[in-house]
Amino acid sequence: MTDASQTPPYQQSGTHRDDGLSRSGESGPSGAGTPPTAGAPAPGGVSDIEGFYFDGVHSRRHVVRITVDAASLSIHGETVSRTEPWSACQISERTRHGPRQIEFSDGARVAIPEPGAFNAAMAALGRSDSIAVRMQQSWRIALLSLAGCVLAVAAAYQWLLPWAAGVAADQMPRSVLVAVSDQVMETLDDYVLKPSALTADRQAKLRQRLADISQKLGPAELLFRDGGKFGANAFALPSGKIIVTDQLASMLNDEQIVGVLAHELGHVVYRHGMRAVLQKSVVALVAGWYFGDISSLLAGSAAAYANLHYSRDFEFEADAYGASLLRANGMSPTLLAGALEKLEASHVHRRAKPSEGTGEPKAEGKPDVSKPDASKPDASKPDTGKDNPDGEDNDYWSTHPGTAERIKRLLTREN
Amino acid sequence: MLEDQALAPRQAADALPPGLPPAHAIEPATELPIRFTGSGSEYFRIWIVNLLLSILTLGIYSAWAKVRRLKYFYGNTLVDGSPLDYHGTPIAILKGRIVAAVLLVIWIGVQQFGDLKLVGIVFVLGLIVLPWLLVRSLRFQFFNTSYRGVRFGFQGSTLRAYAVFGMWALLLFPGVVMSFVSPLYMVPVLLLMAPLAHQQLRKFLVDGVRYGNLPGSMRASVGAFYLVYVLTVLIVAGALLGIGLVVSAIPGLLRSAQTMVSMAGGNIGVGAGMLALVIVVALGAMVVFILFAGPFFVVRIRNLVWSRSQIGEHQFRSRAKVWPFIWITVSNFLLIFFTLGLFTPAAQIRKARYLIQSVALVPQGSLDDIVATQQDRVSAFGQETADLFDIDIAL
Repeated sequence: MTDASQTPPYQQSGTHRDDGLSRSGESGPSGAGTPPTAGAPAPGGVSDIEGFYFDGVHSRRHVVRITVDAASLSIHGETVSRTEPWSACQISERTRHGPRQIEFSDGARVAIPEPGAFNAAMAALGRSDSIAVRMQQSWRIALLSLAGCVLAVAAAYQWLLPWAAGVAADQMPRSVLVAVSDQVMETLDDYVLKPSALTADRQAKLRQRLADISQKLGPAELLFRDGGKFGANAFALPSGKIIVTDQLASMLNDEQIVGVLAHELGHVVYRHGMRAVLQKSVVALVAGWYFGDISSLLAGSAAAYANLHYSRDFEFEADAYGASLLRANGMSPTLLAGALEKLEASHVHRRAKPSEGTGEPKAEGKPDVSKPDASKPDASKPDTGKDNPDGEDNDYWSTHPGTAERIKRLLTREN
Repeated sequence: MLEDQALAPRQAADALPPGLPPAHAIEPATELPIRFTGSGSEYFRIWIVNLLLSILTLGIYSAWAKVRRLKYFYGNTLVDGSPLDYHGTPIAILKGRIVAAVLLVIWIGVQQFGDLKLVGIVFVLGLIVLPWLLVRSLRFQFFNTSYRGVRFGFQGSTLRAYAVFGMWALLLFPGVVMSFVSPLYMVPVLLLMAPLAHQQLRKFLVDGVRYGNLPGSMRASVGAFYLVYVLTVLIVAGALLGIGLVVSAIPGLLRSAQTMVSMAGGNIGVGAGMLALVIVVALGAMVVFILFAGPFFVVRIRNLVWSRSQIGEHQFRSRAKVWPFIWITVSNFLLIFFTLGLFTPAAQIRKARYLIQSVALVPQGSLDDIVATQQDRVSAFGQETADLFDIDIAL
């Protein structure tokens, strides 16, 4: 490890230049005052190494014996004899199995099929391996590397990826947001949503309310649709379009809908939809690469799981935003909490199944983060299929955080 | 355990005393063994250190990692006791990777955010540059491979690559059009056309290879390719039929499959039994294909291509066997699955060892007279792009 600063691993690829090595040799193991060859069994050179020499022009194999000393490497055979200083040699890395090869600067090379004696001679000369080779040869370092990989991936997933996706999403031009959103809306209209039956009067009233709270935030547009299998739901597209389903509108009063709209505006302002797409792409890419050879199924489920987690964070963020937006407009965050409560209750009722208290995810009835990959409408449908009795698991696996926890956070925020 | 396994071929390699027989004494038609001395446990350590350093450097180190990996695989491949070597430099690979990464990001961006027309245009553009890209890739790969101090090369012309890939496009186009009517039409089209196109592609690859002043050539006939394809299809069809019969013969199986599907979140109503049956059969087909028909195909094509290929007058024999390779594939699959991917490096070594050691070189005369030729350097751009887009033509 002492020469880590002198010979960073990335400077030593499959082969390493010798000048870096001799420096590390001097300051390394032999730096304690002993001359490099002091411990070598054959001072002045080791010559019991067998190998092949190739001149780099012809394929002819010359059988040679190799001698190494502090300054150079020599080969001697019936047909060839040659001495090269270490600085003219590129030596392949030491491995526990397999040969080593030394390439001279003119393209000629020496192959040592059984490098045991050569390795010992090099060690005796104090010519140590590069840091990467020593890492690769140690089981302890390999296991530490494994732990390091797991930690690094976890950290990248937890902090780096959300941050990077946030930065990238913020940089994205508005035209892209609009294009994506229009495409999603088109898909949803084709497959899931139906035209709204809400009265024009109520639509206009709600549009006005949205305009009131969102005036400083840029474009926001309210659309009404029959939710189809989405049921009572609301979601935001990255371009600022917010869709409220008839089912939701008939369940909540206008004040509560404003609470929901404030939450959805949070998704718009933070560009959650775009961030979700970016994060998902990266996770899918990495998982696909790692598991690629073995099973795209495994990779797919890993990516899907990762996305569930992300949207939980987004929900909390949008809740917090919605709460402060409501307060800024002189309203109470309890509006949103009340809306959530009501949706939760209707959802539990609809499924005619007792909810496991706090852990039960709101499946059908909570405001949904926009899912721009709505080419598969089912993917943007909240978790209806699963009814996991295990409350904690449910909380973690659900697309949205447990409603009770969200309500609690909203109410605490107010105080 | 792995160390022990790895020692076996190694000892066999030792049996060839490296110093003794000068190669010019070789009689014609003697087979020279090709050994692979890589070890799963050692490669695991290289792999995991590579992975860690690549992550910590945000991918930059991956170019160095690639060189380490290839040096390990090439250096442990000994033809008649002499190793191959890989000469790609990390910096060249890194440059290629950066360009390729930019292209990949653009492609992902277009896929995610572009409309269908743009995706189509970019996709077609990609198809148009594909042959050019692959020729670059092959040039880089072979130029950076050496044996006995003499480099390989690839001289297949870009024009011929376009002819070969153009044929693929022409052959597959009617199939794609027909598959809009019904996907079933794709099967006969593929079956009729793919062997021919595949043979042309392999011929282009092998004929383009140079080792020093010796040209490569392949003599495998189209008919032999057809035979492999037909047998593969028969295996899949037979297995499907078998699975279908077993499933429909056991009534309880149908129901349990149905429960499994609904437990997995599938929302199936009427006709669920039929759907479950279809799903089970489809899954069975996938398993049969990946674990049995796939390895069968790989082994037979490999044996065919290698045994009918030569460099100059020097020939090869490939004697890979189907069942051992199926065993390696299946056990690798399970081990990778249950170790969450950690067995991957050892699996690669196992597979490489089996496939490499099933090939032997049959020299006609001496291997000593090959002369290196002057070659232009090639950039890594083509290969890195092909790699990153997962374009692999080494079927």
